[in-house]
Amino acid sequence: MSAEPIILNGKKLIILGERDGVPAPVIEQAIAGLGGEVAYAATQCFV
Amino acid sequence: MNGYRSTLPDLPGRYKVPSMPTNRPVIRGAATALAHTPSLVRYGSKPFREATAKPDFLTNLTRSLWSYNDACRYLPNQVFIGSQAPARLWEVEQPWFDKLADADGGEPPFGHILEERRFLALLACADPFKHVLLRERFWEQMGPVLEAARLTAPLASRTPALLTDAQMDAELESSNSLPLFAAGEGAPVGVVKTGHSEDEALSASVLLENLCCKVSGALAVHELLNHVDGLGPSDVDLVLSCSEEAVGDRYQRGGGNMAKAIAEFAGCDLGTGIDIKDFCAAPIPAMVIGASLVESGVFENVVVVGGGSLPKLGMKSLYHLEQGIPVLEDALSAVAVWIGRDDGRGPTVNLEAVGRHPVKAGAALDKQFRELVLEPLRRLEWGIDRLDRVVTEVHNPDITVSAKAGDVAARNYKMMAAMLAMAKEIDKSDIAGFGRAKGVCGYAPTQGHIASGFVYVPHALREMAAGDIRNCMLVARASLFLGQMTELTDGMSVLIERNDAPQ
Amino acid sequence: MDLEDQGRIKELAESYGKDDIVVLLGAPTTESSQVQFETVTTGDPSYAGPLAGVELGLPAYHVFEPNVKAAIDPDKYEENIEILEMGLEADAIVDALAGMRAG
Repeated sequence: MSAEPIILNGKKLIILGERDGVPAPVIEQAIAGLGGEVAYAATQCFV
Repeated sequence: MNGYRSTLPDLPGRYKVPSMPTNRPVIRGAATALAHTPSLVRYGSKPFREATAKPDFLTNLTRSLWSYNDACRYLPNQVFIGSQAPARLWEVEQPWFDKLADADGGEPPFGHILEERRFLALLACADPFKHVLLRERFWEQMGPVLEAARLTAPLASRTPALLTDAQMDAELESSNSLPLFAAGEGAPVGVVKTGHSEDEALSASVLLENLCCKVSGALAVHELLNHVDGLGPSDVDLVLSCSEEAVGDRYQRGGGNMAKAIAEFAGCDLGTGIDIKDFCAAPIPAMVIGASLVESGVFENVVVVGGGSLPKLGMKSLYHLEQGIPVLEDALSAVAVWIGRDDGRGPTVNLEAVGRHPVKAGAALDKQFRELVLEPLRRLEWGIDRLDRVVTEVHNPDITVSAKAGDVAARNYKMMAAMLAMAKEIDKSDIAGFGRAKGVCGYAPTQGHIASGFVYVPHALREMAAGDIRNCMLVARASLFLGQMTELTDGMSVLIERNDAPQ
Repeated sequence: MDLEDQGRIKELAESYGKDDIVVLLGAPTTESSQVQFETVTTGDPSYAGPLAGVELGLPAYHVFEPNVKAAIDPDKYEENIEILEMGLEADAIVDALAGMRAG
């Protein structure tokens, strides 16, 4: 059974990316067009 | 899944193989230096902020620092100075901090671990502006010790500024000064004064940071000079510093020149110097630029040096203290690499296969590795089988795993392998074993430019001389977004090959 | 989690309210994903930052989670995230966050 998609339309998005995981700009690119507004996006680097 | 998708043009042929003149650049030597400086950990960025907020932090920190003897018995440090081969890291189960053991006796092959008091005394010797002042009694002890050792004697020719006990007490009362402590010494052994009361770029903490880089960098250059034939201080034409520190003043905060300061202090009197900056990736661009300058004939002997980074000391100390393990980021690390003309022996720097990270490639790790690893191989028309070793970000996992950041090297190799599997260079079943097959276990201090493939150069030289590997690709990455001028990352790779490799 | 990030998240939560916010995570390890999830739901587990003891209760998802994946255009997912998912401990991250939600 496929999962119920989350609704981003109309939401303020907080994006917490990581250098070695999924960086914030990559997440932003992937969710572009889903209607959410990016309120804050940051990418961490732990080394 | 359909193969690998990219918004960039197909890989083969995107960049042309450059046509090159004939001064083939080779790596003629490489060395490392490690300064064990537990008493400077308090001046690392994180510990300094923490100590300001919580007065009891320093007591806990001091209790959790290693002695010099412990640091010398720590496997990753032994691999750093070449007393142990990197393969040993696969054999000893992690963590390593609770398995201290003596390495074989004898001279370490790449460089020494310097004891803290010697390093602190050298800070004052390296300071022409006399902002570092030493207690007279401390210098009376340390001056002869520095003079007696081959490594430190050339760096200790200048007598530093000295203070009596009474003068030192008065100086320590200034709120702008930083006391220099040393393990086993009750009172501070020195003090760093601010360089200018209205210039934050010359504060005592910035000056200390830069002097730590200068001294550790010069130590690595001297280790190099002591370990190779055919290179005296005056033979060095150009020093390229890939250090993380930025020298400057309030009008040009990062505009200065660490390389030339290192060249002067190391006695390279006929050489000059330039800094190459690219966050943690800087060593690879520096090696590429150095090799290109040798190839073009502009310079004959280039030394690429990365000095140690004081702000990174104790970076993960909160996690280490929380878990009751030693604060492992307690040493300043430095590497120096000599790139010169072909001597028929040194591994060549293959300038036909410099991997780069174009703006459009994006920040994701798989895209970075595609550009930095796969693209140069395709350009050379090499399959992955022809590459014997690939080294990237060999951060010591003892430090990062305990800080919930995982094993950086292992993660990199898995991601690189996933990318190669999608590109049909390896089979999916080979992803898990890729790191062991082509890579290296992490062992370097978390000073990113050192942990980049740069730290591995002396091991690569030794493995190529022994016939264990034919080539090694060094891959460095930079988190440009940290500077908040761009969201991008950067990176560069370079391939070094045995001198007798087929052209 | 970075203290600066915590401060910004706290401000945003106060100005928009938790019903209008979604947090998307891209951490590479299970542990770091858990710490971030915890920080924006029940509070900073390290008790070091502005969210120490602050239960924001924000809806938070890792981008590897099935319901995030289901929302993203498959081509975009494949282009941007699929290999990262393959190279990281994605299943463990998804399980860990599901476990935390279940309490």
